[in-house]
This record gives sequence, structure tokens and C-alpha cells, in this order.
Amino acid sequence: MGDWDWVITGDSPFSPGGCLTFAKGLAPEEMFRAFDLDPSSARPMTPEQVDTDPVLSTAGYEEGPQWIRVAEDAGWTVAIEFIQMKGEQDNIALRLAATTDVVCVSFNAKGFGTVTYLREGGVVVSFGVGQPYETRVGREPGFLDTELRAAGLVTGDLFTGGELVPALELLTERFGVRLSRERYAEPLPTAYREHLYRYPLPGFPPRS
Amino acid sequence: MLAARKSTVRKRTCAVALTLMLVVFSVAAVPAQAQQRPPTASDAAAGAVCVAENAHDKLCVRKGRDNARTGPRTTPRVNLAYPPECEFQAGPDYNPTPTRFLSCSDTVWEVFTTTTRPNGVVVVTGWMNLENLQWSRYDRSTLRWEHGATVAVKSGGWGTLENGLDARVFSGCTGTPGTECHVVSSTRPDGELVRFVPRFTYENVWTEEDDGPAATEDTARFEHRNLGVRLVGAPQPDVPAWSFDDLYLVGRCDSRVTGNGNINRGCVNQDFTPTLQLSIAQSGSSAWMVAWAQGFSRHWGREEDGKPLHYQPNYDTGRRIMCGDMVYDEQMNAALSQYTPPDRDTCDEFPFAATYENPANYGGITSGSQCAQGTAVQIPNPTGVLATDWPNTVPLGNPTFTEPCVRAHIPGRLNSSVGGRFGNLVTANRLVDRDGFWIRVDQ
Repeated sequence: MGDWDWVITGDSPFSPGGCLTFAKGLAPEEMFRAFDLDPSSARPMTPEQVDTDPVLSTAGYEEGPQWIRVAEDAGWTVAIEFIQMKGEQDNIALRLAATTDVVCVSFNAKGFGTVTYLREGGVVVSFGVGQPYETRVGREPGFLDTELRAAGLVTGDLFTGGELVPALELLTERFGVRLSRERYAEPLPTAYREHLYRYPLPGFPPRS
Repeated sequence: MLAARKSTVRKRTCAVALTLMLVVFSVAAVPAQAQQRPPTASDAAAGAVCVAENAHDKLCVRKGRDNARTGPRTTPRVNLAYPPECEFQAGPDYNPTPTRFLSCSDTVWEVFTTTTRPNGVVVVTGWMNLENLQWSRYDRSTLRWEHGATVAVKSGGWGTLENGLDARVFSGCTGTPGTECHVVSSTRPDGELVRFVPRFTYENVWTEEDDGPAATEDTARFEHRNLGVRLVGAPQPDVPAWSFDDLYLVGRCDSRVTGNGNINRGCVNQDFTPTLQLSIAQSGSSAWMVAWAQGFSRHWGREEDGKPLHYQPNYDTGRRIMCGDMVYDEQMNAALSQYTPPDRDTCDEFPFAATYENPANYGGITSGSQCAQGTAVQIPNPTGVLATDWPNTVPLGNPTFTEPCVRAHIPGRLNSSVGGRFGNLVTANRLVDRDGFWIRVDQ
């Protein structure tokens, strides 16, 4: 079984839907702040604990508390969203990209998702998974073509769509982003907010 | 003869379930001053199931007539708080399936005794009506649920039953074959001996737990179709041994493996069909497209005039067939590239690929080009907010409104937004393969 096969074997961040937002070298506290969450409110929780938590278990897609779990692995910090996709939908990934490299992967119950690589405040390349037609957009739509071709997602010049797991594997290969099943299952710092995302966030992005 | 009949309100569709036991009791005169119409002799032959019988006498139990609840209400003075969603106190009807996590039951049981005189005439000799109000409240994160019940003497208490009816009240999970559950705890002892006399109301709340396959297997489910209470008659003078079941609550428990290897277990009222609520304000043209498609002849998922969609979690080729020959719209992509972050044209389909109603899943089409086609359109003065700027779709070509599906060019994040809400519906309601759901689109 490959590094990412586990995400399609059951309730993972992507089953039936969710979002992973990776930021290179970012402190976990800053990841919480990027999602408009108070890092001091974070407490360690497993996915199972979240599922039975009286507050977090009431979270909907837009309704209810907005929450993330944060993990660190291989020099990247990842915000894990289940069902929700604030990293993608609320431009949080883009704002993070003002200061560091960002990889954002979302997938939803309709059976498709989006992979985006961001750097220097912009989208370098973004493409769809489960979308069997040309979807590459961004500053450099061909930026990942070597990897996409190796993964079988590009044939000749034709983007052929693809599946979630090969797309994640090529991201690991190219950028080193990871999230193992074991890490995902660990108690990870978890925080939530009841208010809507404030846009733009005061003081964000953080200045180094 | 001791008989009881059971009355269900209009919304109930289940059949009577009774357990036969033995008979013996004495004959008494029918009271002249009954407060409510007492049963007539013909009642004995009109659907009652006699749970106890000897040569001349019977004790029968059956559901009361549909209008049985219009008699003087017992409205028990109970400490329990009835779930308001059950609408027990809203009139003659109640709501058996008010939510995905609540099952309700209101049943009037007419218990009466008869005797057959030497000349063959059947005479009612005793009478008592019981009203059972019950509910099961489920939780999507546990195999345990709350089962509340009151059993009230609604009217009667005459003749052979004038001194009351003695019975032990059990949870249906106790000793009922095929229920696949057990009692964890209860506010009153399970199986407690109770004397039902006029104006008396019994109340109890059990914590019950599924012990079917979902409790031990990784991916399993069990449908409970017979939850409730069992009344078992206790020995008393002139009343034969009897019992009957009031098992009209339903629930379904399931288990599934999570990505981290844990097992996620929970229960729902499977008879409740949840609704996916979409908003054009939040999902723009992707929600609009659904509303447009629901106006087609099949009215997919529209509760007013259509049928539910049915979740198909494991589909192989649906989106590939629906979208494989999609050619993205360069003009739309150019317009979407101006957004922050840039977005793209995506293929949106309805019915969703993850439903059995999508024709690609049942061989109804070989290409999404066989669907009605549409495209999102941008407002003249865009604001930068996708849902605001791309609020609706327009047809491409001339749809007949009888096509088996709809396919449209939709901005990617709006398409994802509907997908995210769909995922939330699946998780929040523990939708499993073939579960139905409605879709409602609001402004």
C-alpha cells in the first residue's frame, strides 16, 4: 500500500470530503492564526474524539464551528479539515502563500477535487482530480507536467484528469508533503471558532 | 375472554404485533356509565387478536380505531419531557419520523374481555384503553440510544378490568426475538410489575444499545424495525396470562472503518429522508443548476413533485462518462482567472455522479453530451465574489426538459461548494448505500 492509499479506504480527510493545506516551515501557531483561530485554545484531539465531541460533532460545511487539526511532518505543517474546505474556499491557502510555499488539496463528495501549488503570493499551478478534462490553470500551468506525465495524468499534451491518490503521491515526490495514517490518527492540536472567517485578517499574513 | 385492540394514528403504517398466551377469566357486566364508547361484541370479531382464551371467554388486544385518540386525552402528568418533534400533543396525529435521529410511536391499545353466552351471543365483560407514547433518540456517534415511554390508562377500567390490569413492562430489547439490542440502564427497573388503573401513567426511559453486527463487525448495519415495549400480564384473579408487544419504533445502526483504523459507529432513524439544502447565495450557479434540473420532467430529488435521490458511494465511471468529453470554456476560464485565487471552468452534473439516478451509473447514457447542457454566466459588473458574480446558468442548445441528466460549465469553487455540502449531508446523516435524500435549493 502506498503512502496515500489510506485516504480512500474509509473516513479520511477526503472521505467523503475535506481539505489539506500544507505550508512549508510554518509554525503550527501561525497555521491556526491563518484560519482565524486562537492557537492558545488548541487541545490535542484524535479524529475519533472530534467525532464524538459535543461541539465539533455539530460542525457542518458552512454552519456550526469551523475547526482544524494541525500536524507537522517533513518540514511542512498541514491544516486538516474534514468536510470543510476553508483552506481552498476562503483563500487561506493563497494568503499563506505570501510568506511560504503552500500545497492545497481538496476533495468533495461529488467525486472530484483540486490540487493547487502556491508560491510568492500566487497560484503556480492548479489542476483537478476526478475531472477528466483539461483543468490546468495558474501562473505556470505546465509546472508539474513532468510529474503529471509520470503519474499518468498527462498524455502527450493532454491532461486526462486522474485520481486522488496518484495526485497526492506526485506532490510527495515533488514537494515532500506527507500525512501518514498514523500521524493523522494521533492526538493533534485542534481548535475551532464559531464566527465566520474574517476577511482580510488583521495582521495576516505574519511578517517574518 | 380478554382481548385488546390497538389503534394507530393516521401516519402509522405498521401492522399489529401481538404475542399469544393463555386464557381464563370471569365474566362481568358491561358498565352502563362508560365515559367513552365501550367496545361492542362485534369488536371481538373485528381485528382483535385474543391473547388469552378458554371455552367461553377471551382477552383480546388490538389497536384502537383511527379516531381513538379523539377521546378524552389522558395527557399523563409525567416527569418525562416528550420530544416536541413527535407532536404527541398537537392533535390526533403525531409524527413517527420527525428527524433522522428520532423515531416516535403513539399507539392506543383497546384491551377488552368478552364471554360467549350459552345462546352463542358474545358479550363484552371488561374494558380498558391504554395509550403508549414512545420515542427513540439516536446519536450518529454511538450505538446507544434513549428510549422513552409512557403507558397511560386512557379510558375504561370496567368490568373484569375495573380493579386494574397487572403487567410487567419490559423494553422491547429484553427477550424479544430478533431485536438485536439490550438494555444498558433504565430510570425504572426493566420488567417492573405495574398495576394499570384509571388515571395511572407508567413512565420509563431506557438506555438501549445495539448488539447486532454493527457492534462487532467493521462494516455492517442492522435495521431495527421492532423497538418499543413489551407488556406481559401478571397473574391476577379472573384475568388470564397474556402479553403483547408495542414495537413500532425503528432505527438503524451501522459501523464503518475510518481512515485511521478506528471504527465509527452510530444509529439513525432510517425512515427519515434527509434534505440537502443548497443556497444560490453561497453556491451560486452550481446550486442554480440543481434547481434548473429539478424543473425537468423527472424533478430529481424535489420533494414537492419528485422522488428522492439515492446515495451511491461506490461508483466507478459516472463522472468519467458524464464529463470525459467536456471541453472547457476558454472565455469562462479567462474570466475566472481574474479571481483571487484564480478559478477554472469545471464540469458539473446532475443528478450527482454519486447517486443511482445518474444515468451514467445505470447505462442510461454513454456520454455527458446526451444530457441537457448549460453554462454559468457572469453578471455584468463582477464583485470578486464567485457566488455573487456567477449566480445562474443558461441553457446551451434547446433542452427538451426530458433529458436524463443535466451537465453545465460551472466555476470550480462553486462546484466544490455543493460537493462539500453533499459530503456534510452524507456524514451528518450516516447515509449509506441506497439511502434516499431530497435536495432543496433556496435563494
